[in-house]
Order: sequence, then structure tokens, then C-alpha cells
Amino acid sequence: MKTGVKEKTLQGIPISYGISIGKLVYFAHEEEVVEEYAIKQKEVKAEIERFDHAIQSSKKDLLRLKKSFEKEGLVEAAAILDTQIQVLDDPLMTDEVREQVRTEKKNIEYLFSQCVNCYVERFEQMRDPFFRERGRDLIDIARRVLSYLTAGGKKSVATLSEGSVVYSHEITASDAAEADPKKTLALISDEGGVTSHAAIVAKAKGIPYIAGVSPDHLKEASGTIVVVDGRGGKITLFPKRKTVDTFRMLQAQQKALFSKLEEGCQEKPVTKDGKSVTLLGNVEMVSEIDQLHRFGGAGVGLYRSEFIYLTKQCFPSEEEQYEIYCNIIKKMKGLPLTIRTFDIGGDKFICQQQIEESSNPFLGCRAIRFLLQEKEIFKAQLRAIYRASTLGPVSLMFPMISDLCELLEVKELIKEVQKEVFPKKKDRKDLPLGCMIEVPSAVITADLIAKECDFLAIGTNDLLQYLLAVDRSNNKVNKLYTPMQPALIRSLDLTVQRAKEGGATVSLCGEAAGDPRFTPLLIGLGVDALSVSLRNLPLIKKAIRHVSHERSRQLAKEALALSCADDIKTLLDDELLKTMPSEFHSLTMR
Amino acid sequence: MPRLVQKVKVKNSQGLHTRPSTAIVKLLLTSKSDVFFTHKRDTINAKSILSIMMLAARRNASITITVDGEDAEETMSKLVDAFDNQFGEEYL
Repeated sequence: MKTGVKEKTLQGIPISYGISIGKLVYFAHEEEVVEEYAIKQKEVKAEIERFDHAIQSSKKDLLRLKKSFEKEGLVEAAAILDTQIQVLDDPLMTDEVREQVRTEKKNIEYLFSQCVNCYVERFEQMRDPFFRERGRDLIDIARRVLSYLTAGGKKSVATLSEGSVVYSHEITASDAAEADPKKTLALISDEGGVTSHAAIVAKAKGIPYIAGVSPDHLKEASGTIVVVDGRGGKITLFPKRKTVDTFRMLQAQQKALFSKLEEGCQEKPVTKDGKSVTLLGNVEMVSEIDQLHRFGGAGVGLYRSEFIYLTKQCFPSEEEQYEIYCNIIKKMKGLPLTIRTFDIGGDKFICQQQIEESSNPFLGCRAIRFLLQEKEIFKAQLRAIYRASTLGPVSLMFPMISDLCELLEVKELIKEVQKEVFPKKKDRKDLPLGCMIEVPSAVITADLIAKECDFLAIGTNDLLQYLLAVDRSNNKVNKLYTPMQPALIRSLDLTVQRAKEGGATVSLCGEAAGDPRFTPLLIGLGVDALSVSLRNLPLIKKAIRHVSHERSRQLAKEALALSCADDIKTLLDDELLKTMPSEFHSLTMR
Repeated sequence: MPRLVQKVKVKNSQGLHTRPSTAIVKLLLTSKSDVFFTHKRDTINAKSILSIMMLAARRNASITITVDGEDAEETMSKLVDAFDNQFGEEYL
């Protein structure tokens, strides 16, 4: 709203929708260059006080984070923060740095980072990768302390002032986890894709998020009010008063719509002509289960268990997992829970167990491939799940099955686990087993896989990327990355047909499930269950109640006959306009 | 002032990594004695978590604990117990 500056719109990749109007604030992530300068004798005391203050503030941050992790049931993540707190108290760090200020008379941030670097180097020289990794933890801790030392430097997302639109080169999952939706109104980053963990967290929290916009393009507007439209990925810099007013109105409308949707969400997800659709939620955190109940979800179709080690650290032990699974199953109050075993690798958390760097992580050792190599980790998870499964209905789902043999190997492992957990044969419990269908080979062999398990869950995000060989975080090619691709629609059709031959049900848990334009198409293709992020649950329920099964089947036929993504988009857009009341149109992604 | 020395073995499968190190430092928070660990040629202050981790002591490593101070006996017995029960770690 500056005078003399022209309103300007930037286009990015929409990741988490919603409209926000707020002050643009830069969030520095990369290493800050630490200055070195001499101080006078009389400044020593103040310099040490500054350091003590930074340590205390960092400790407070960590304690606060630890509490929130404990509330989430993230025992392991909380334990890691406990370690970080101890490191802040370590005499090697604190006493040494204080002593150096006295003797060397240099500024504290310089001495502190020198001291940290020296230890990081020692850790990095260690032969044991497990200990080597601790160097990185130290960098993480040092960053936090330095953020309190360098004025105006890096802050935690959580400490940004209220009403911020945060922009950075990269938003990490823990940044998103720390963000308070009341304070952080929107996120903008250069790197990052629709399905990164940061995106998933932002969506779960309802924070609009746009990627693919370089901080260089935003710099000029830093500190001014901007408008973020997460629906279409548009950012308006220096907005005119009129623009701001328009978006404020839209924002208010959307809010009203969401509350309207929430009111109707105890209704059943049944089409106009009486076909019932199973509508489930995707969940990352235990605390989301309350929301699932409030929104009238029929269960959890995808529990992303890898979120248990949110802080990119080592795997939780069997006991810790057992505790977490028990907690979540109890909270489900009898509704079915589908736990997906750890899905790691690719853009997901890199963990210390994955020491080998791969130049092509998406084609490398991730998900089930990783679990079948690290059998002890996998079996510990399976044991924890089987032990907890006595408390309520649980299904097991395996990520990224690309070859039937993998499933067969998993089933052998499960037999071993069952014997260990239930020594008496009569106590033995069989859980429904499912496979994620997210690579083309699994689509092609879906009939074979379906014969060996109970359900297939299509993950459209990964499937799309593998199907079109397109890196969704690469701005030059990600135009191809749209679920409207004929190849994807045909793959869905193929999977449903083959699953039926093999006698398995089909659910869909990718992004497309949460897009109301897809609702009639998916019903028409014969998908049995939709699993959507909780935010979208009321909207999709509404969408289901506005379509008819018969028309949906016709629509699926029409879509399958089309030859390009644009035509499919037009077909689905038009259908939505016809079926959903016009007030809901503004809620969908453009 | 009593000065106690005792040898212990690291039983944890991943050695003295983050969690056991944290447990040791927390356990020693209230101790009034000086506590040192000797592993191979290194002797370190056991109240410093970084020092413990930098020992990079792996499973079956032998650690010599030296406790010097008024509550040496109590401190030593707590430490030996903790090493024995693997710092309460449940195993994968």
C-alpha cells in the first residue's frame, strides 16, 4: 500500500491453499556469516551477559518445543531436545567460551562459533557414522544460540511476530511444525514441493503455502503488507487498497464457508442416489484425531508413522512406538486406523541410518526397500503395531511396493513377528494388509499384488511423479505434474479393475482425494474409499453428497476417453460448477 | 575425601550415543563429586555431554569411572547401575 510503488503479482506453485494478508518477513536459514571483531576490557562483562542470555533463551525455546512434542506423543523427538538442552549446559561449551572472551577479547558470536566448529570437526572425523552425525546436531544447536546473538538474524519461525507472511529459500518440516498458525499467516519458499513434509505439515495446520518463488523477487517488498492467495499460488506485492479489500472479503467468505461445512460434517458421505463412500482422514499427529472425530471421519486411511521422528533423528524404539500406537488407537474410539510403516527417503526425512548418499534418492533405497534392508527397524515397528493392535481395529500398509516379491518378503517377516508377539497360536491376530500403489510397476501388476493382500491404496503424488518421470520440485518441468494427466486417470482405472480381479478393495490417499473436482471421477472409477487431509474432509463430504453415482460413472467414461490434461481439467471443472453450490467454488484450487 | 575407581562395560548396542550420554549427564546433575571417564587414552569430565559423546565409546567398550568427592560412593553406585541396565534403553 506504499504510494508510488506499483502493485505487482508473482506466480508460484500453490501448495497449501487459503488466503492471507500480512507483513512479509524474511526467514534466514542458511548459515549466517559470523563477524569477528575485537572488544575492550570493559565490554567483557556485557559480552558474557549477552551470551548467557542467548543460552537461556535457547533453552527456553527447547523446553517449549519439548513440551509440545510430548503433548503430541512424540517421545523420541522430545528426548532429542532433552539432549540439546544438556548440550547448552555443557561446561565445554559455556565455560570455555566465557573464558575465551576474557583472554582473547573478541566478540562472543565469533568465539562461540569457533568453539562449535572445532567440536563439529572432531565429531566429523569419527569413524563411526552414528557419532559422526552428532556434529550436525551441534550445528543445529549452535544456530539457535547464534540466532539470539546476531541482532535481526535468524529467528525460529515460532518467534516471528504476529501477522507474518514468512519467506525463505527453504521451509523445512520442523519450521512448519514450529509455525503458529495464529502468528504465521503464510509461508513462501523457493524450494519445496507439494508433497514435501513441510507441505504436509503446513496443510495440516491450515497455513497457506506457496513454493517456487525466489526470495530475490520478494526482497523489495520485505516489511510491507502482501496478499497471498494459496489457491492459485499468487502473491501480490504492494497491493492497492482495493485489492486488499477484495481479498479480505474473500477471506471472510471462505471462513464462513468452512464453518458452514463443519456444521454439516456429521452427515453421512452418501451420493444423491444412495451410494455410500468411505471417507477417511490422513493423519500425522496424534492430536489430529480429535479433529477427525469432529469432522465425522470414518477412520484414518493413512497414518504417516514416519512423523514419529519428526526431528530427523534416530528411530524410536519398539517400546516408544508401542506407547504412541496404543495412545492413537485408544483415541480412535473404535474407528479403524491404517498405519503406514515408515516411509523414508526421497524428499522425506533423511535419517542417520541412511548414511549412504544417493544421487537419485527417488529411485533409490527408500520406503519398503529401506525397511527390508533394515529388518531390525522394520520388525521393531511391526512388533509394536501388532502388540498395540489388541486395543482396536488396525490395518497395516506398506509404502512403495514395486515388486510382488517385496510383499511376499514382508509377509514372511510378519509371520515371524506374530510368533514373537503372540507365542500361543490361539492368540495370534491377523491384521488387514495393504500396499501403496505409487510406482507404475505396481499399477501394471496390481492384480498380482491384490491377490496377496486385502487392500490397495493409491498414492497419486508419487505415482504421478514416477509415471511421467517428472521431478515435482523442478520448476522447469513441473507443469507436467498435474493429476489431470490422462496417464494418471488411466492408471487409476487399471488399478481399480485389477484390484477387483485380485479381490482387494481400493482406496486413494493422495492429493487428488482432497480435491472436490476429483470426487465424482474417483467415485465413477470405482474407488472404494477416499482418504484426505483433515482440513479437506468436510469439503469432500459435501462434494460426495452433491454427486450421483450414475452420473459419476458416465463422467469417468468421458474422462478416460480424453487425450490431454487440459481437456480433463475442463471436464472436471465444469462438472464441479454444475454439481456443487456456487458458494463452494472459491474453495477449490484453481 | 573418598576417591573411587571402577571399570564398567558399555552394554548398549549403539554405544554411548546421544541417549545414554544424556542420561549420564542428568544423573550427575545432583552429584557433588568430580566424575571422570577414561576410555582408551582419553580421560574426560563426565558432566560434559559433548565430552562423553566424543569418546565415541561403542558397545563392549570398557570405561574406567573415577569419582572424587563427598558423595563418591552414592554417585559411583548410581552410575554403575545405570551402565548395567543400559540407561533404561529398550532395544530394537
